[in-house]
Amino acid sequence: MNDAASALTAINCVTCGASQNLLGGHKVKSVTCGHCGAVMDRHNGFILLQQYRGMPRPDGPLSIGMSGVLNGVKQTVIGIVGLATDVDGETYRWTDYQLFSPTHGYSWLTWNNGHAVHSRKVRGDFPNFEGRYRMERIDVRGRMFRFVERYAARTTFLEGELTWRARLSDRTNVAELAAAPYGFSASTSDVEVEHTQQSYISRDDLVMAFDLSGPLPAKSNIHPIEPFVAPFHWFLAKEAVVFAALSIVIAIAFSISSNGRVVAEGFTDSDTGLLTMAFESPRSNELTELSATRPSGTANAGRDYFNVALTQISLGVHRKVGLSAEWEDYANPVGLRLEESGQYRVQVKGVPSFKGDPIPLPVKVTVVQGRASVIPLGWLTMLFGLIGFSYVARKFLFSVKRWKE
Amino acid sequence: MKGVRIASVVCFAALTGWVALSSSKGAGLETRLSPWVETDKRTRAERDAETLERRKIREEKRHEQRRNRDRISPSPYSIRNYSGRSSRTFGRVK
Repeated sequence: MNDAASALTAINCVTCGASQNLLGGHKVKSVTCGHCGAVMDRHNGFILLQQYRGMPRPDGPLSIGMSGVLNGVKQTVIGIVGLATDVDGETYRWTDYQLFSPTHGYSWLTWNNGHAVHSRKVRGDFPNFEGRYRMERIDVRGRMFRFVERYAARTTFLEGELTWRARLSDRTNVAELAAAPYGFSASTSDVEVEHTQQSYISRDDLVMAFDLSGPLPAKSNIHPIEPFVAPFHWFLAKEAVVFAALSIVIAIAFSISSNGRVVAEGFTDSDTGLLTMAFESPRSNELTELSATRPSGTANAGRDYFNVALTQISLGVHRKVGLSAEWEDYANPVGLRLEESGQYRVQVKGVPSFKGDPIPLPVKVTVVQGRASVIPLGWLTMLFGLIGFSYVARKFLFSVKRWKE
Repeated sequence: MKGVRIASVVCFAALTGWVALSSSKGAGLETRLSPWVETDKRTRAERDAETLERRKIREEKRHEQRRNRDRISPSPYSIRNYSGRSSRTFGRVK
């Protein structure tokens, strides 16, 4: 290409006369008219190479001439290629935008089902991707990728400036690898094997980069290199883990220090089985625990029963509780929340299990107040743990869905 | 978004504080299973009055049942079988 040709900024189509802006650099080899489908040779006086009328225009948010900053580099859309592949009788379509930067050269932006991927050609020695199976781990330049798929792409649409002499009959075999948010691909055509490294572009970044107006078409699937992004959920999960740890610390502190205070203690009478004690409840809604313990050394093979009556002395209010002392010298405490403060009286009477049985041996009855519980803190820890786990589960399901498609 | 994040942290902190306060008061240690705990807040006079009332209703019901039984299905030995004769031989051909 001589100096005059490279200095051109616009030409008219050799077939239809429509104006064609020349935005790409000297590596552009063909220019395709968007009106009549004429493919012109950029390096040979724009002679007509082919003409494709009625090409179906692919979907996509960009058009030739749009500029934006992608990955920190200002890029301009100079060409559009529509591509398709047929898998199991179904046709999948996507759009490649040829980008050009005067400082960084040529790259691609692929628009596929609402996903945007930026690709750049790389050179070097790379592993062979033939015969690889899905999800196989492959090390490419120190990064561990997983093999996604292999397919044959065919060109369905051409427009603008491209870095090769474009033909609709072009076929390329593509092998793709993914390590979200990065990807790697090897495209094998009739003449060469081209490797590209890819990075996922979020929809927000794309809209911001090219100053797009209006909502983008919705995503219909998960792209192999689409990262799992849920910033608020991640924030909540981190906070939940911190608060779960805090709950555990508080629970440990409570379990160590808060055994409560004994407000009344006594033994049932060995003859009558009766015990009466009074105690003061200083606050309203005070938790009061009644428990019975058999003194060590007094064995009993059966189960003893005790009738327990709790009376609020000042108001004449009666609360009756049943209390059973197990043969293992232990009775589960009975927990009561005394709604009102004041004087209380507890009356315990041992009763025979069956008619004619003797009165139970004396037991020690203890009334404890001011005990702290770790049960609510345990539930709270589980709640925070679930919030934290939900992020992990969501990310896992995202990954499962990604590889299912 | 920053406001939402701050609000979520405040919610977490408030929830933790409230649960810690409840735990310090022994929440969850109450015995809930019947009949382990049975609360009766009535005074003795109220309890006696209610017992009398219950007994009266029970007596009245028993009388009513007895009257109905005699009317609908009179005993063959009852003198109030409204037939003037024993129901065991009523309608039989001798």
